[in-house]
Parts: sequence; C-alpha cells; structure tokens
Amino acid sequence: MEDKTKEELIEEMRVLKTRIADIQDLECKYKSAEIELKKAKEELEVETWGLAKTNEAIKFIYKELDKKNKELQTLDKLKTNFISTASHELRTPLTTIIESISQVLDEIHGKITAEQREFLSICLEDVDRLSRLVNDLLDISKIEAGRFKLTKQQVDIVSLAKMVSVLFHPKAKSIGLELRENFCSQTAMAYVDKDSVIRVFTNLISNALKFTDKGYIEILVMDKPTCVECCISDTGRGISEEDMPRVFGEFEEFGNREGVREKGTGLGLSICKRIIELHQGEIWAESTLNKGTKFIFTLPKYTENKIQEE
Amino acid sequence: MKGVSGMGKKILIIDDNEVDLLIVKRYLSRAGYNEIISAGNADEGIKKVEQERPDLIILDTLLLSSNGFEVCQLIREKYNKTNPKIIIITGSIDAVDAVKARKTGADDYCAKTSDCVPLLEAVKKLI
Amino acid sequence: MPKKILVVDDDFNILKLIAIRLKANNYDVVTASDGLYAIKKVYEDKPDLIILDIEMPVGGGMGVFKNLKMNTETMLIPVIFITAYPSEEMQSKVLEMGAEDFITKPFNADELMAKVRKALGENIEKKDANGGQSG
Repeated sequence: MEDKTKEELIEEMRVLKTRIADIQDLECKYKSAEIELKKAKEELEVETWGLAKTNEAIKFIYKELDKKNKELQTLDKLKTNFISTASHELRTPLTTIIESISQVLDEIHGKITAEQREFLSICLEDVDRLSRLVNDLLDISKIEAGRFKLTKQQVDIVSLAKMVSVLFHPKAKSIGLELRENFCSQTAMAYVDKDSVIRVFTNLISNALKFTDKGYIEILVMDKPTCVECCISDTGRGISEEDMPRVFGEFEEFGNREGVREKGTGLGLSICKRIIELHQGEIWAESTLNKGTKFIFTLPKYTENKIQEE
Repeated sequence: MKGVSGMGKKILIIDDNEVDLLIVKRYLSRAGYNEIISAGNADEGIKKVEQERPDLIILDTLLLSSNGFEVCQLIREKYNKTNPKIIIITGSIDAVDAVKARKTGADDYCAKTSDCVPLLEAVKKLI
Repeated sequence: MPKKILVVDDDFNILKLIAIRLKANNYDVVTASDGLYAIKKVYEDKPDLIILDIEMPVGGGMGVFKNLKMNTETMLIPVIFITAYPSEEMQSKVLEMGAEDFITKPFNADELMAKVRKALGENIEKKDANGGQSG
C-alpha cells in the first residue's frame, strides 16, 4: 500500500524539522528566561539583605539616640539643681547679713551714734547691691540654661507701661525729673511674659533716671502693624559712639559716672536684651553724648493665631 | 574556625578618622581581640593586607582619595573570595550602599555607633 | 494679748533674727529648727501664725506644711512660706497649696512685718517698732 508519496514524506519531514527548530528555539528562550529569573532572584536576595542590614543599623542608631537623650536629660537636671542650690546657698547668708544690719540700724539692739549709722548704712547699701547682683546672675544663668520659663499671655503694653511709670513717679519727682508718658493708642496688645516685660521697663526707666541730671524721661508705646514698639528716652548724659557696641554687654561701665546716684549690677541691660530676644523681639539704643539716649525694643503682637502657633 | 574570644585572630582596620579608629580598637580589644593593626588610607591598607594577612578586615566606606568599596573589590580580586572576611562600616547607613557592599564582596555591612555593638556582633559572627 | 508666732527654719541665725524682729514688734515668738519639733510646738503652743522655711533640707518644710494642712486641728493656722526662689511660679504654688503668703530671702523687714500683720488680720497701718529708720 503506497500511503504517502515521496513528496508527502519530504513535506512532513520539513514540517517536523521546523517544529523541532521551534521547540529548540523555545527551549533556548526558556533557558535564558530561567537564567534571567535566577539573576533577578539573586539581585532580590542582595537587595533584601541590604534592606535588612539598613534596618538593623537604624535600630542600633535609635538605641544610641535614646541613650544620648537620657544623658542630656540627666545633665539638664544637674544644671537646674546647680542653679537651685546656688540660689539657696547665696541667698541664705545674704538674708542674715541684711537683717542683722537692719536691726542694728532700726535700733532694736540699742541706740547708735550718727557715725555708726553712716557706716552701717554704707554696708547695707552694698549688701543690697550684692543681693541684686546675685538675683541678676541667677536670672542670667537660668536664661543661659534654657530654664527661664516664659508664661506668655495677652498683655496690654499700654496699661503695663502706665503701671510701671506710676511706680517711678515718686522717685523721678524726688530728683527733679519729669516722667512723661506717650501712648500712641489706647491699648497695644502683645503676646508676652508679663513679669519679664515689667522687668525690661523697670530696668530701662531705672537706668534713665540714674543717668539723667535734668530734663525728662519719656515712655513711648506704639502699636505698629507687625509689632508693639516701645521706647524709653531721656535727656541724660548719653552714650558715646565708641561705647555703643558695649551697651548690652555684661558688667560694662562707661561714660561719665561722676555723681551717678546708685551703683547698678552691670547686668540689667544684658538681661533686658535676653528677655527681648526670648520673645523674638529686637532691642537697640540710639544716643548723642550730653543730649540724651533712647532705648527701643519690640514685642510680638497678640493675634488669635499666636496661641495656635505655639 | 571560630576561635574562643578571638584568640589568635588578626584584625586590620582601615579608616582615615583617628578618633573612630581609636574607638573601634578600644572596643575590639575589650572584647578579647588582641591582634589589631590599623591603616589610615587605602594604599597603606592594601600594603598591610599583603604584609600581615589578617583574618578580618574592617573597612570604612569613606577613605581619603578612595572608598571602602573599591578597596574591598581590590582585595577580593587579589585574594580569596572568602578569606579574609571583610566588614564595611559607615557613619551614614544607606540601603543602596548595603547592596553595593555585598556586591563588591563584603561579608557584612554595619553602622558606626559609639559603643560599637553592631560591629562587635558582626565580628563575632565572622571570626 | 499678744499674738503668738512660730518660726521654723533650719538656719539658726535666720531663726534668731526673725524672732528678734518679731519680738521687737510685740509678738510672742516660738522657734523650731526642724520639722518634727515644729509640729510638736504647733500642738503644744497653738500659734496664731506660722512662718515656715519650705526649703529646709533637714526636716522637710513641705512635709511639715502638708501635715499641718491635713489635720483639722492645725489646718486653719495661717502659714507664710520663706523661700529663696522668688518667682511667679511660687506665687501660684502658694495659693494652690493653701498657704497665706510667701516671703523671699533675703527679705525686707518692712515687707515681712506687713505680711505678718496681714496674715493675722491686723491693721496694716502700724509703723515698725521703735519707729527707727529702716535700712
């Protein structure tokens, strides 16, 4: 039986050969895909290893950060304790000294002569000064250590300035100086720590009174669009150009100090500057020798947003 | 063979930062690894590998005029693929660098910490 | 009849000086230099006012204060704190805890006497004893 012709067989062989070639081709493709897959798998393994290592390292770094944080907290506590202890240790003997002398001057321990009074008064004056110095130093160290807590609230600077001004009226009168108030508006709302700002006003007015022999001292409060600007100006001795850069420095003394009524601690302006800076404000001085001086500072305004910001 | 507390194992540290070098040396010797040599740059490091034949090399990623990966690659090319053991350490952990470390033939990659804990763990595992 | 004041402070000098100042202003004074003794004195002498150093390391000023405030017999006696830390925090702390007032070291004698008189509900216009000049 002649099933298939020669041509048919050749045709079938050709087809088979083509099929084989196809299969071989597929096999090749399959093999290279397998190799690709293996490579990709290896890559993935390495990447996974890399991520695992990174993760491990991050965990270690977190632990380190935690440790450092605890160390910082301990150091911080030590600083606070130091300031507290120093505070206590300095103020206790000062108390004894001041009260002892006061009692003798008050003649609780018997009458004293005028001469004794004179010298005891000198003593008391300087111990008082020492006491103020201790207060200022402790304040500065608190500010430096970041321990000076500000309790910010809405404060009307105009009424605050009025209140401080009233306190100084008797003193100004007694030395023959006029204390002027210049408030550009009824109110000036700022977002500040009340006691610190009172401190700034008190320091500046007190300084002005000290260094002014005649004329007046003016307290100005301006409610500006971006801030509350205050200015304490006087018709006093003034500050020379060469002394200007040192104005806010610690323990700086300059200019003609002859006849200055009361010795300061040398820290008042430095503390003012720090307080204003803690409020993100600015403070500076303008002066002409023998004409007068102006100390100007800015305070942040109170807005509804302020509290949300902090 | 993993020795008991690193007895007899020689470690070479290549790092251009003197302080880091000191810290690593200190913690390694406290952990019982007494044979420690160091090099401050890539060239010196490679010379010391040749001279001293350490069991483990600790490489910093950053080296003057070179980096840890290059050195690692060089060492792998010159010497064995598995010995000496190499650990690459870095001050700034990076996942891409981790992969690079592995690819250039390092055995491990870890962070520099002030107590060297991750490094010591890696060292213990390798030698 | 003169009012009685108990002064508690671990520093003997301060104790003595405050006592002298108070006596010069015609008050009866009892003193104590530690917490335990102070509490004993409160029950024994029943003072009209207590001046208490709250930073007393020995004998715990704060402990004494809390003890007094927790007891019905003693809780109504007004207490003035003596403190080395003048601050707004102290002011609110004082009010919060039920103390009458506080005086800071170093203190001004006039201020001390004014606060004592106020705590005892007396006329604040009185001048200092012996009418001497204050320092």
